[in-house]
Amino acid sequence: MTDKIRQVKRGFIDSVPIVIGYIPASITFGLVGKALSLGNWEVFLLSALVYAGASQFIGAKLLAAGTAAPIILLLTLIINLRYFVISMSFSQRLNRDTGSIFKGLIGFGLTEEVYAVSMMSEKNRRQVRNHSIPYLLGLAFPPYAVTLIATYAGILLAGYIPISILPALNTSLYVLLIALIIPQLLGSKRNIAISISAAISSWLLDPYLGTSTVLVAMVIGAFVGNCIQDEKIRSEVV
Amino acid sequence: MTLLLIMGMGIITFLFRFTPLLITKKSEPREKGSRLLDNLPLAVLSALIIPGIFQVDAETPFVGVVAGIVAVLLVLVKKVPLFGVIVVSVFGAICVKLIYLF
Repeated sequence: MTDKIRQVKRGFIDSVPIVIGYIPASITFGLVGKALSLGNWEVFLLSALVYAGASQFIGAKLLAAGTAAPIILLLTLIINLRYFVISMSFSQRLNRDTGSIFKGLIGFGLTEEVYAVSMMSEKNRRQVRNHSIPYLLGLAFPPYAVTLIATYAGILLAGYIPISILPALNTSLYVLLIALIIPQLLGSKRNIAISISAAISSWLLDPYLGTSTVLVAMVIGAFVGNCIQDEKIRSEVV
Repeated sequence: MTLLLIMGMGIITFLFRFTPLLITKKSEPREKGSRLLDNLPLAVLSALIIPGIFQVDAETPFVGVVAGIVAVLLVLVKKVPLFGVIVVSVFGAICVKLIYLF
């Protein structure tokens, strides 16, 4: 029992960088949603039910523009297909005998940042091969709770605070990702190749593919990595 | 109607995140397929960072660039804890934005 509580606590602590990033991001979402003249509850529900960062913004824009429902759903399908791959990769770190309810809860909260922290942080890789459920719940819950609160705050504050400084705060999401991947790149040609090929393809393809860029770029990066031998690091990463 | 639509978007997103957890069996390490899966985390995150970090502030792309450079330097040069890296980098981004604003 106490061990479970300790695991939850460790999850909470690891979620702090994500929480810091989600506060300005969700306030921005609340402001942007209102600026698009969506209803309060529409903005809030997009955060509460979809809970998927960038695709929420796209969803809000489409709803505000009165786009036909099938097209909105189709675009959601295309944009969020990357979560399927992310979840497939994440499932390697989940115990097979995990109950379906817990899989549901963790699946719901599996944003890119939660995934990034659970897969990348040095500590996590050393201490646990498979993540414990209490740890994952502790990691996934605070970001969701904060998203709801901050979205609501953004809705209330719409019209009162200037939007211009918020993008600067939103850089924290990218800083988190950078801080997580840099240690992986040191001393591994293979990892450098994966990272650079994915980043460059994403950059080059972005103007053409738009929202589905990440999906294509990550597949390219993963295949490039398979072409490169990197004996020493192999044993560490898995 | 809008409520149903938002619920639909939520269900699609949830199913993408949930089904792989249900169906994927844990593969033995060193399998060919899982080698490809091992590469995915780094590939996803790299693709998310670039070009996203340049677009985070559409008016002033330099804001994201500065935050990114400060973050890379802090991680490389000194063993700064994650929290510190984030706070300092974002502070750098805010300073850049304020300089542009005034």
